[in-house]
Amino acid sequence: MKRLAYLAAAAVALLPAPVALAEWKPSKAVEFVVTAGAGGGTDIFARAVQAAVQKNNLMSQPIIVTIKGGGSGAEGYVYTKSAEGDPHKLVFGTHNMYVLPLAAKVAFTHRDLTPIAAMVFDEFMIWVKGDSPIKDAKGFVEAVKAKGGQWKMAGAQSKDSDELITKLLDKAIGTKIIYVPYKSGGEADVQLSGGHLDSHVNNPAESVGNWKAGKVRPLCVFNREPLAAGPKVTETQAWSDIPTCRSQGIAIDQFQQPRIASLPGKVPAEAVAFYQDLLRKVAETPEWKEYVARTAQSGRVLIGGDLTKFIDGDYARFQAVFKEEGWLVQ
Amino acid sequence: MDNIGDLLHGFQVALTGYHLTLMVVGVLFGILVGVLPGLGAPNGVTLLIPLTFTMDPVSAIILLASMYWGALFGGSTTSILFNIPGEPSSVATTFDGHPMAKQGRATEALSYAFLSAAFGALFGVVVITLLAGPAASFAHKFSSPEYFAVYFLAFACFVGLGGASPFKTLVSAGMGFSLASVGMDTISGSLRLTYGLPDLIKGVSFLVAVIGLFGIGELIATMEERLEFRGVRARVSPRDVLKTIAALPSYWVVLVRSSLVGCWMGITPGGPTAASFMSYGLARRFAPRTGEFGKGAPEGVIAPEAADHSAGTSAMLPMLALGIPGSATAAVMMGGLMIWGLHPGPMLFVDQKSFVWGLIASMYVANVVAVVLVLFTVPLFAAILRIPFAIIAPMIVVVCFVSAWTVSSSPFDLWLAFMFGLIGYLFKKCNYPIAPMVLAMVIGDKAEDAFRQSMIIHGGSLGAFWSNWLCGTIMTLGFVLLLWPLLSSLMRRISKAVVARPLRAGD
Amino acid sequence: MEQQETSASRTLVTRRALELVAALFAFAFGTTIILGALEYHVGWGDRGPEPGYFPFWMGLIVVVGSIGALFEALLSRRHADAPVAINADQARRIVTFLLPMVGFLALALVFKLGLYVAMVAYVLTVMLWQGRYRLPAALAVSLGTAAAFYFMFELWLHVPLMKGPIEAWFGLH
Repeated sequence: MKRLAYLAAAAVALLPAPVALAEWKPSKAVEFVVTAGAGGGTDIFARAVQAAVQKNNLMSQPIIVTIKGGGSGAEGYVYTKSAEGDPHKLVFGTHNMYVLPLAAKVAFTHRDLTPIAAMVFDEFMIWVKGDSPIKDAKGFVEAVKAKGGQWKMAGAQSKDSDELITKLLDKAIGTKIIYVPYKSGGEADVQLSGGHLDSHVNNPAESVGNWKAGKVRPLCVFNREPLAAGPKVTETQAWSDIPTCRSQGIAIDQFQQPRIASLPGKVPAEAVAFYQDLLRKVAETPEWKEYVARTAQSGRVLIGGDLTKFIDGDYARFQAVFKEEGWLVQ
Repeated sequence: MDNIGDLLHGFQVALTGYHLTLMVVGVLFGILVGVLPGLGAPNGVTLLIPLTFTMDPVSAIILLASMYWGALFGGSTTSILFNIPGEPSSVATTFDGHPMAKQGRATEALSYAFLSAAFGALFGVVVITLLAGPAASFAHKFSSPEYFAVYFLAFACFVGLGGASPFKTLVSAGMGFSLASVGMDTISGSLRLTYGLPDLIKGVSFLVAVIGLFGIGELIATMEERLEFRGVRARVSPRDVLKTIAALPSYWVVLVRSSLVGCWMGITPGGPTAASFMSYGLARRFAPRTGEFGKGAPEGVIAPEAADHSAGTSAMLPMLALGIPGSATAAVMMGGLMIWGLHPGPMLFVDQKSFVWGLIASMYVANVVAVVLVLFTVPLFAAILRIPFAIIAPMIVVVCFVSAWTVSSSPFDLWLAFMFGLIGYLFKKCNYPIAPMVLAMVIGDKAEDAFRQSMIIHGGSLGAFWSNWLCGTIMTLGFVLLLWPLLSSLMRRISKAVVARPLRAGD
Repeated sequence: MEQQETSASRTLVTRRALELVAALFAFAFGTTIILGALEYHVGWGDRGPEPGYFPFWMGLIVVVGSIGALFEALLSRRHADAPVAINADQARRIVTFLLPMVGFLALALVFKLGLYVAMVAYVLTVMLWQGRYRLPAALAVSLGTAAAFYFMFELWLHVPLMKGPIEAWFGLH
């Protein structure tokens, strides 16, 4: 099915006048289902796509954004699953589409959906308070060890990426960090900048406001390479000046959060091709590039087989840690 | 004062023809959204955000904020006339507003509501103007134990031991807290109390509960009496409004206290709904004639309205300065900010002076615009009440269920609203208090999260809540207010005993 | 509750009976919550309350409150002042109000005809049956209601309401 869709998309891209494929177009308003709270990263992702489509007239039908962030996003996925076969619903989310069913009894798995594209990857960084004496990741490791199991890490949600990174850090450093879950990265950031906790692992966009004001400071990024060069964020530093955690001696290779758009299950291949094409065009617009740069994410589009491969790999990684921690739901 | 200079600059930004038009459009749209029970201010902002993509950020935020003020005003109108709160934060306005309307004092009730709301809103804006710096850093002192203390204080102020049977109050509050814990648990990441039903994953929406408990429940109770509306004709004649304006200053204690409560809850941030409950509770507790509450006391309208609006306006401050949204609507607006390329935080006040102060100046203007407009819409709602009951009753039923649908497009929610309607009727007949359940649903899951975060941070020790003066003071104050009825009756007994009067049995 | 003192209508439900119904409902609700909470640990771990802790105690509070209310209802003599909760007339009015409402929900959700079709049928029924309006007037009002909702929600607010097969025939999605 997915392979077929991929071929279909390739065909559309290659042939100037596709004769074999009846061209599919949405016949009514398309609903963008957001699997997170209003104003969160996923909401901004969906609205960035909406803005790019509308400003460049990429689609004739209107777009309706609906927020279904209940149950950490499960509400939106269950809603999309129940619209099986309806190609007028595009659900926006992150890896939570395959991580949520691991730890909680939700009535869906990612196999109930048809992933269309991973459009952008958000980064994770270690942040400390602005006036903290810790200067780099080495200093961070020493400080965590010195606290002897009393280091407090804030993060968004439970049994999700932030807690997973904390567990990976436990192993890399060889100690236990106390993880304190909040509803969102924004809340975690406020707590850190208020000096109530020791660190968090927010996405860049969640903490940039406080970084500019000198209230929090990033130490390193969980990626193989530093971020792409760009304008200075603070007076002295740009995102690209943040070193990788690996280069600083923390043995975690890469950890990114994909932002994925999916259709419900059992939709026609022509519709899949249409949305693949649409999202590929979106990724080329100046509005989209501006969004990616502004939120300091990595703009890398995965479609078709590449996407399937990525999801399978990431899923296996979460599953392994969850199994070890005893978090898998029976 | 730098702030005054900045504010004057802000007025230059806000007082253009284009921005005044946006305010009028925003307020009118807000009133409409506010009147419909399920569609609240957060939905309204969500609906408008796509329109703001092409706008300048200042114009965009002025439109969204004006919509918010309009929604807050619109919500009180239906609370008073129909006993159906159009906005969650106007639930407390029904307690005395609707009884007043039933006594033929609808105009008075509406005028009190709008004017005290405007007072609260302007109070909130003045506080923002003067305290932009210190208030923002004060909010930074709040960690999980302090948040829990704030929720505890709000609950303690409201609940106490009211007129109802303490057992029934327990049932109502316990049901509210139980319902609030349905769905995803933030702390453990597990789904609770869903009984295998996918529809319960998202939890039980407080809005759906309010639509059922108040909207449907009220209609059933009305039907039981007779096939006609207990609602009332309302006409706002300028003279009635002037009379209310003249009477308002005598309630200055209530007004100022409620506005302070509102600012406190907006900045800390407990949110406007909790603020209105807390303020109502305080007004009842410290009123000279407690007996009139619930039967149409003007203080019972003034207190929640002033607190609601001052919380709504002051919630903008922590949102802009810290990125802490003080209300659900502020949270959606914050998303808008990010879409327009602005990052909330202390630097916003330095980098984006025109944006911040243009917004603050617009809050002065838009609230005045909103009062005027909402007073003009009252005859419209009054006219609705003249429609024969066999037409208007099914329409209200349809509005209730359509509103329940708009909460999250879930068929299950409609059945839920119906069930809550039956519960609301049953509770009303048996004198179970409904308000503790509503308040518990509003603050329940936030309070639980804050409590458990505190326990994780402090290693499971309850000392967390007395670990610093701020938290300890709020908690202690909460306990004093919770036990106030006991304490005051004890003191009365003691003083009576001192004067050596015989005690009446069953006092 | 202020009651009309006319004895024209006979008592259908006494106040005490209604109190018992409410207390038993609360008891059942509380028990359900406790059972749901027991799915998780309900104790106090080394880092504070476990996931089941709050729901368990809240369920228990409801159960305790309901037992208290039950005894109040059985023992209290307060209800002697207003012994009648619902009389036959009132019950008839409530049922005539609730029946079409249930029909509305069933039509919209069980038969999946959507909210628009259901609201037309509902407003029409109530106007004809309870309001004794003539058919043309009732038709005009009920269709007008649906049209007004359609314009407001679908076209203006862009909030789609639930629709069924009949809208699909007309090409409205």
